[in-house]
Amino acid sequence: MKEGRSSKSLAGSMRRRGWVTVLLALLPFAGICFSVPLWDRIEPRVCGLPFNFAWLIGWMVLTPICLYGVYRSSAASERAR
Amino acid sequence: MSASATALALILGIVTAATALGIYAGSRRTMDLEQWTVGGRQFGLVLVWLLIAGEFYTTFTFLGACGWAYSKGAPVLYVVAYQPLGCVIGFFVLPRLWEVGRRHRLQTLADFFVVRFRSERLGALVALIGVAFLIPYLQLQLTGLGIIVEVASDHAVGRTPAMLIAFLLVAAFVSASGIRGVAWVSVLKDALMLVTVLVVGLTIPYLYFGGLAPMFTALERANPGHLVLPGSTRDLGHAWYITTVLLSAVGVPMWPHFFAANLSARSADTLRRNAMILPLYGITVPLVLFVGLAATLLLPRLGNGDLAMLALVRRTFPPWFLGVVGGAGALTAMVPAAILILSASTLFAKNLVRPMFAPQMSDAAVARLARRTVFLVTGIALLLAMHGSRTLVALLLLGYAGIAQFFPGVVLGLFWPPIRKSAVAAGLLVGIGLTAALMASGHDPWHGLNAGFAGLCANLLVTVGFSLRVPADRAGSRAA
Repeated sequence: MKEGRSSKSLAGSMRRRGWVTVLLALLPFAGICFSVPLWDRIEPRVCGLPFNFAWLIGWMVLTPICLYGVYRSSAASERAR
Repeated sequence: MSASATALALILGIVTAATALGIYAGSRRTMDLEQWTVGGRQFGLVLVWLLIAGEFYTTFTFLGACGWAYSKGAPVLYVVAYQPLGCVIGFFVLPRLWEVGRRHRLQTLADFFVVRFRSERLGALVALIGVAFLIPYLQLQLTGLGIIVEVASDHAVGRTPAMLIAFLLVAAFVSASGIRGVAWVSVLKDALMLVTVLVVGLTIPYLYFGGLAPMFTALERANPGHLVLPGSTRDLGHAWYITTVLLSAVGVPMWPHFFAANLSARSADTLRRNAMILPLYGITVPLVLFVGLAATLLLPRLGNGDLAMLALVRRTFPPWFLGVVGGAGALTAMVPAAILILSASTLFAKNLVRPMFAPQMSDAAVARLARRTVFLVTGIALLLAMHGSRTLVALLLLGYAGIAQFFPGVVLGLFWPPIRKSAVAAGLLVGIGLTAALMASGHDPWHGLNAGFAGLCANLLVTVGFSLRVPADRAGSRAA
């Protein structure tokens, strides 16, 4: 248990980290699933691919990045406890 | 040697080598139930990654997704969508499940329900549902094997004899190797599949169209509706996409065979790191989709979309390469089939037969029964494959519709103390019942929504609702 920090700011930073975690976890769902009417089209083409294909391929790379953010922020809050 | 003979010989060679490897790898440890199901819980990061990643890449992606790209168009994008989301859910759920699994020495998904809710009957229900919905997934693999032999032999060898041969090989392989043997063959399968998909997926657009951009321009000109939802279907639109992606994402960590593979990991953190990088493994799926789309222009009159990948390879490459692709495809069917059979037979023997009919059975006897059930389970899937007519993707969607129903019980069981076992049972029955009723009456999609998803929502409502009501009843029964 770490001493020398007021419990108020520690709890506060943990709450903020909790929100970041939730947000990062939900971001792929928003981008890949719920927003489909927004990006389900052929134009503009990206590298020759229809936009919907390129969008989903992009999220295949973005999702690990989001999860990495969750991994780091929950590891950080584990260390802070 | 004729073209067909060359291709078939290569396929048989690859499959035989893999089977021998599996049997050898499996024979190096004595097989008790713990070894056979979860590899003694000592698999490191690399082996677990291979085992899990190997399950993401099955005949479903290789032949089935290509088939849907050919016949349905944009709706196949749900495959590219649900895999990363399944990883996100797995990232949160699986490490917790692993900890519970380790603490209570769980081996099957049904064990979780038995231990968490203290009910062998709930475990038996879970086992029954698990086995029932693993079978379509297994049927998918056997059908895929049949397709491979059929196309490689230019329809000389019929689908039925091909599947019979597949059945014997797979059953023998599983019986002898257990999960450890399967993990090693998974390495071979993944390497071969990666090379195959890269070569086929990258060369075909360039060979026939001069690149991806010209290919999609040609596709857009020929049939623009094919590339956006609902593609070449009437009813698979945005609502279907959203509900199907959610259903499948939620179902990913719920597959019984996935549960066993995860338990074999050395630590919960292994699973978190796996979940992080697994979405990248799906990069090869779009390549498979490109092949299917190319086939719409090059082979416009294929009766069965699931033939598209192999038919186009046969058209484009020399027979020996068709043999390599076919061999890779065969392993892509056999390895997951082995894993599925392992899960189904273990569930059957350990969570259904022993608690309900023979409580005094020893662990060794359960393991023996499980090995014998291998043939039974594979036989049922084979019969269904021989007489079935669904597309490969439709079979997997059927499996997901059932398996996703475990989600409320597992997740609420892990994170929500008020949950009650009667609520879980009721939720499961309502979910399965509603899904089955909708599907059987031809209502999938139902008002545009995936039928399994509708069942899942009902399941969740019932599970939560009953759990919140029961405390009053418990007070009543305490007084009684």
